[in-house]
Amino acid sequence: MGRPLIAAPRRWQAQVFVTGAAAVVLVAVVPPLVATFGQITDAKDMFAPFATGQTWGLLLRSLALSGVVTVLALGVGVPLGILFARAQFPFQGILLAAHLSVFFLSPFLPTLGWFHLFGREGYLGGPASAQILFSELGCVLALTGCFLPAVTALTAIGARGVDASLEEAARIAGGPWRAAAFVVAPSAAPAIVLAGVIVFVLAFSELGTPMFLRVDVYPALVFSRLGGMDFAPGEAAALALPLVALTAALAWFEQRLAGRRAIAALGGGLRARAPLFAFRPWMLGVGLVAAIVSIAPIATLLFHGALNGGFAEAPRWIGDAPVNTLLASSLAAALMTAVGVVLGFSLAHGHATGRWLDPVAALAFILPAAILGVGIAFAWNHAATNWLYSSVGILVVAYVARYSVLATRTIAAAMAQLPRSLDDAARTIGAGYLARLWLHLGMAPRSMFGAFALALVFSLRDLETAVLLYPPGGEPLTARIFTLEANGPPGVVSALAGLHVLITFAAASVGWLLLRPRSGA
Amino acid sequence: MIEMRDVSVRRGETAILDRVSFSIGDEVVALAGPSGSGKTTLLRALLGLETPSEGEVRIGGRLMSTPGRSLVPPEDRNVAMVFQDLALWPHLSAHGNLAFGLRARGVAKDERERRIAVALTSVGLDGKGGKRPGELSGGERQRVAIARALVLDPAALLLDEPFASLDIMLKQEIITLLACLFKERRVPTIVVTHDPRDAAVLAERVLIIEGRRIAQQGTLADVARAPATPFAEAFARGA
Repeated sequence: MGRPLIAAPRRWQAQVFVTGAAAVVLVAVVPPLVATFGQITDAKDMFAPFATGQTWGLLLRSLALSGVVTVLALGVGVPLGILFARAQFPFQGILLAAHLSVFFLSPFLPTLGWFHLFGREGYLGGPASAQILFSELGCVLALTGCFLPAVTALTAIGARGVDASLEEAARIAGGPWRAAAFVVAPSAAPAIVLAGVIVFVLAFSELGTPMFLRVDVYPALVFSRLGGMDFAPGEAAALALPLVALTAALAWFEQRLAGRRAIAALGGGLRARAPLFAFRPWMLGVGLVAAIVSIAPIATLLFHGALNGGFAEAPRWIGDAPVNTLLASSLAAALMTAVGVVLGFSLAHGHATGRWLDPVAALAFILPAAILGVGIAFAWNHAATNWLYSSVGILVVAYVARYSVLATRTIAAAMAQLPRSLDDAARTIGAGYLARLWLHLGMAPRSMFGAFALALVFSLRDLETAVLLYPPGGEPLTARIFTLEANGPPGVVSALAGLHVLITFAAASVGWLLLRPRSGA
Repeated sequence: MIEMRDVSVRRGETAILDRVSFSIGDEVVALAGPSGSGKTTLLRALLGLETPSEGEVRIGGRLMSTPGRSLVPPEDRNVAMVFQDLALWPHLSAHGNLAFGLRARGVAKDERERRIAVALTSVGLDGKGGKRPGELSGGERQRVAIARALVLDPAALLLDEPFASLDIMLKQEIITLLACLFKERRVPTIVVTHDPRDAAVLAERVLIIEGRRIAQQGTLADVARAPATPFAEAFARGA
């Protein structure tokens, strides 16, 4: 017997890396929350906004609107996800990609496309369609169209990960429809719950679409207290107070019904098996409709931009927005991936740090973007931290705070699928933390690219936090389009939106190239 | 009666089952073969989860598939299977697992409850219907899987290595149970096993599959007397 020669001296590796990754998440998430509550307690008449029924009415309206969007997205997205995952029909992959494409964009952009299609002066529009579009119904439909693909995608991944023999046993006993309804969907439930939470959170946080469609929502009330005539940061923080209870409830709900089970459900997404449903022509029809609903507003934007000379004019208006967008998003995505590798490994192996940091990061994602944005402004807008607050670095902080949970869970989902014995084998031969981490990345390399692509796309599409925080001269493209929409030439706005679409699709395509299934893989 | 006539299953250019022919009456047949020889593929082709590229599959005299075409979907073949990993639906109770197939067949509630009660009793699980798979012991889960297959009154029964994950005591218990059940219900039954002693206790005949083809079929005594391959010889000797 002697002292361990390898493992003990390498313990510092785990401590350094895990502490570093945890520090990144905590620094991004905790100061905004603390600062928000600090502002509330400092405010003189913090409950003044709640004295009017208008505030409560707006809160209820936003909750109802997000709830309806979530129910509609789940109602359509779950069957659609199962269809895309477990049926077989022509052009399935292309139609799915087209359907998912709209989710890669800030919902404000497709809404702009719907406006050019169904607005009063739209290509297919008139007074009646414009009236519907500029109403709660129009807002619900526009947001559902944008967020539906999230449900489709997560359901499809969850459905493909369902144990093959569970599905086959159900198929033999009850046929494909009963198997889908009573075995595949319940088995994918954690992924579906996660999708529901994501849609509700994104719908509640959404600022651009409701403001554009002249639908009053609660986040806009918070937003209005952070600029212009109504500048009242204390009130903005106080307005965030009711949402804390909502956030806590959602975080509890997500952790209880999805959480680590969603990680397991999403991790087995590439198990090959025969389709559950044989081809029927209506499947192709459904796939086509799903694709067209997503593509139509994007195509309209590109068409409108081209028709009105927007693309020729765009360089005069675009400024540094694309560079700002790509710089902030890429840096944030790289940081989120690095953090995700360490914390994902920790989460997949059930280590304490991963377990307690996951709900913290999930809380920041669930927190309405307006509140997070307000908190980040309060936390970092000081003389001592002005170097960060007045640079694109503040956008990096915001993106990491809001989206790091996505990168971490993506990597955790992949690593959780690797047999535990592989890690045990490495440990028994004396592999240190970094060697084991490297080994796991070697076995699940695509998870790292997937995490980067997901973090990048979410950062690229972000409007709600960026519009509150972008520094002077550091305006990202989504914020540029949003501000130009009020007073810029419509053709240019469409063209810029089109360029944003192309940038996002280019990033998504690179992600797809890196992640696409390969033969024999 | 289960019948396969010159059935091949291909993945691209590779045959994963090659011109397999046999027929099974109301008897228990053990299916044995080295790993990767095509045992599971054969069961999946019978179930309709694989479509043969050549040959015909008949169950109960009814044509189930012709080359490249499955004529009867798995749910309409009335073939029950006990999966190697049991495939019990974890979110449903034992009762729910048994009721699933009966509901799909439109069996009325009273009749459904009666059949579930009989099936649970027959495998010694009285009073355990309300428990989910996670709340049952390994042996009890095995019994639920068997009951789930039998409750449908199948035209044929397939068991894919049903003893693979059981310890010696449980295995003996389940073998005794199955031997009783097979005597009670005479339906064409295939039991995949690696253990010749299981075959000797449960099966009347043996199908030896090697290299994705049927290498030999007959009673264990026949195989022992004139083994067609070294595997067949080793298998028969092990009994």
